[in-house]
Amino acid sequence: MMLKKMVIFLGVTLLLALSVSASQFPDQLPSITKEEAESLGLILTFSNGGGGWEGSNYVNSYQDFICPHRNESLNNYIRIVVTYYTDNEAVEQFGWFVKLGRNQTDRVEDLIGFWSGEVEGTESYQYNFNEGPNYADLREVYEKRYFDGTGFVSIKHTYAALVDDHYYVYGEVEYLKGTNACNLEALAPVLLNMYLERIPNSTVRVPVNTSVDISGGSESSSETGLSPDAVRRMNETNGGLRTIGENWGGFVVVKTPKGDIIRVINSNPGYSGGSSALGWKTKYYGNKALDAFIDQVANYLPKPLGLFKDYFKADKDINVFSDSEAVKKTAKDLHVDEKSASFYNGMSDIENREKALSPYKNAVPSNIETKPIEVVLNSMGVAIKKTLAQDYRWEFEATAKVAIRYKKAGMKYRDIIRNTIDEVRDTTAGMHRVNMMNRNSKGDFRDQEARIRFYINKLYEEGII
Amino acid sequence: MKGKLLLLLLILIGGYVYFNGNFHVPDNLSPERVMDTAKNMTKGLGETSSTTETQSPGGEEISGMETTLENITVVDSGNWTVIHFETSVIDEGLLGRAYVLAQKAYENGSRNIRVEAYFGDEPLIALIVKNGDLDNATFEDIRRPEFRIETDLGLFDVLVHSVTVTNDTASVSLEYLAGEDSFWRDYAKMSLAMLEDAPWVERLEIIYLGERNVSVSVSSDSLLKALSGELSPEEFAREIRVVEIRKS
Repeated sequence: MMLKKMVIFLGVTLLLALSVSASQFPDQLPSITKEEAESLGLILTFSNGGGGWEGSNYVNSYQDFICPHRNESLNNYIRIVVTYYTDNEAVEQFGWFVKLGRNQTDRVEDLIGFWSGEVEGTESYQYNFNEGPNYADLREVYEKRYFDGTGFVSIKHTYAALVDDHYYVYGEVEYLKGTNACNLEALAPVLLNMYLERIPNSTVRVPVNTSVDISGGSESSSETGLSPDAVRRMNETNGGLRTIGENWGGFVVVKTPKGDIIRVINSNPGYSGGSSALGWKTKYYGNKALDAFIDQVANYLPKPLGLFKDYFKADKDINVFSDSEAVKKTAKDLHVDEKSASFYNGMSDIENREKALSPYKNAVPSNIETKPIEVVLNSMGVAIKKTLAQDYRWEFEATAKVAIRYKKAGMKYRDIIRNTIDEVRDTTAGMHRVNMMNRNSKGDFRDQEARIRFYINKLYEEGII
Repeated sequence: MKGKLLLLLLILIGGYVYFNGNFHVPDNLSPERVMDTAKNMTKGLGETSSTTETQSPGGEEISGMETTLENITVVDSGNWTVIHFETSVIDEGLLGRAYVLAQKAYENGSRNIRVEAYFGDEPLIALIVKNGDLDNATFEDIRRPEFRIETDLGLFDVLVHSVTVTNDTASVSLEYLAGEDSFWRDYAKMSLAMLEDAPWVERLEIIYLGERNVSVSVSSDSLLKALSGELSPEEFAREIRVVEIRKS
């Protein structure tokens, strides 16, 4: 999101340069209005355009479209880019596209399991390339198929058109098979032709597959992306979960885009941890009879040697020997070890943000049913904090490992700091949990380097390095 | 500070171009318009409405207030008004914040309204109003199934590494932080959480990452039977498949 906005600002700056030498360029590049997008059953999500630095050879305009109410993170979208080049580059771009398309060959490769390192299935790539007068399109079908029958198919269909040797019009549609509500792939050429029609004196058009329904917006049963077998299992399982809920004391029904899901609630958890992590855990997943049953099951299962960290005991309140009442409280509330609790207290910003928001608490009228979603949010709020606390501890351990190695190699303290920061940053860059810590920490701790320095200080104080 | 300066500079330049530029930027969803709409939407939310239409690239001056409800975008699509907002605080108050935004859209004339709350890039919950019927608004859990499992397992003493959900299987890899005593108890409870979150799958797998890596899996059917008291401890144990896998 942030990046997108930066791109907009940069695009605008680039326009400055453009206004100096704008005379060679067309007054306007074709674009689609949001009403026109709607008439096709699409939502226009993004429009932008610009040119290069002063004296550059191009201006462009691009727009993104999705199906209504689709989750953007699924990456089902259409993007159209129209670029005007003052020189021969449009012709070259088009030539490259054609060359790339012609050179694709179908292939099937072994799918090596990320965890197992063994062949677990196949990955296949199928290409279909078409050429016409000044247009071409390439369809790529990528299929990931595991031997156990699971997998998915994703489709990427790209179009290129060359108009008047100066306009390069590129369209791209990408979607996961079975997930899009409107027919993105059929709409892409229709959309592309709307742009092509708006280029003065243009006669280039891409072929539209008329057999495909482009009425759009029709929500089918494939909306959920679930196979018929999966839907059948979902109904059966939900029935079973309801029964368990009735035995345990209750359940709620939560609406989701894939249909209702059932959350079992234990009316008598036998633990009054309130809204602590352990409290929610026993309320939603705990049951004394189940515990007793599983303890017996464990007699028939292997010992989980080497599979647990043993920081503390899971089903008990944590004994913290810290002098700080705040650390004790956090450890108890989030059910984390003392180190995680103390890092959380020092670095998390979540509590401050919560304080700022209290006025919204009772804004929903009481006649609207909120309980199921409250069940979701209450436990999730604590889970996010607990995860954050544990992530700090994880980052600390990662730092300690590296720092101790440099220490053992005989490095000076100063060099240990520099090298540890570099190595931890390099090896954890882009990790989900690092992003989460960056986002939810306060002040300087939003920067990973500050956190690593803090951990190194801690290690130094403890006499470890 | 650097970020602020850059932002100011960009706005000035942007303003200059806006008034002087002779190149047409498609304006039907220009950022200006989105921001104005967001501003209108949140106007009158009272003194707590510091919903930020300003971005903070440097991040230095972010206060608690400004980061709680940010990046609001409004997309009008035919009959529907779709409002996205981001939150970093997850509690019951989120429902109220979504509701207040829906009310604002209603006051601005929208009748079919969908308010979506995001946690970073992850969709969380949606509030849906149909035909202007605010009294019968409904809430949906719109988390991706993978993220739903990840956050629900967040109550356990684990570090989740990855989650994969297909039509047939839900698979999680994680580190288990607590002790041996509760290992199998937590295994059963986490499998229950996964089944609640993805009730369509046939098989549930947890891959434990430690000194060894081990995959522990069970069919949804056997788990349900065990939880309903239809299997003996020995029968259930036989249904659980434990396989050591190579460390990557």
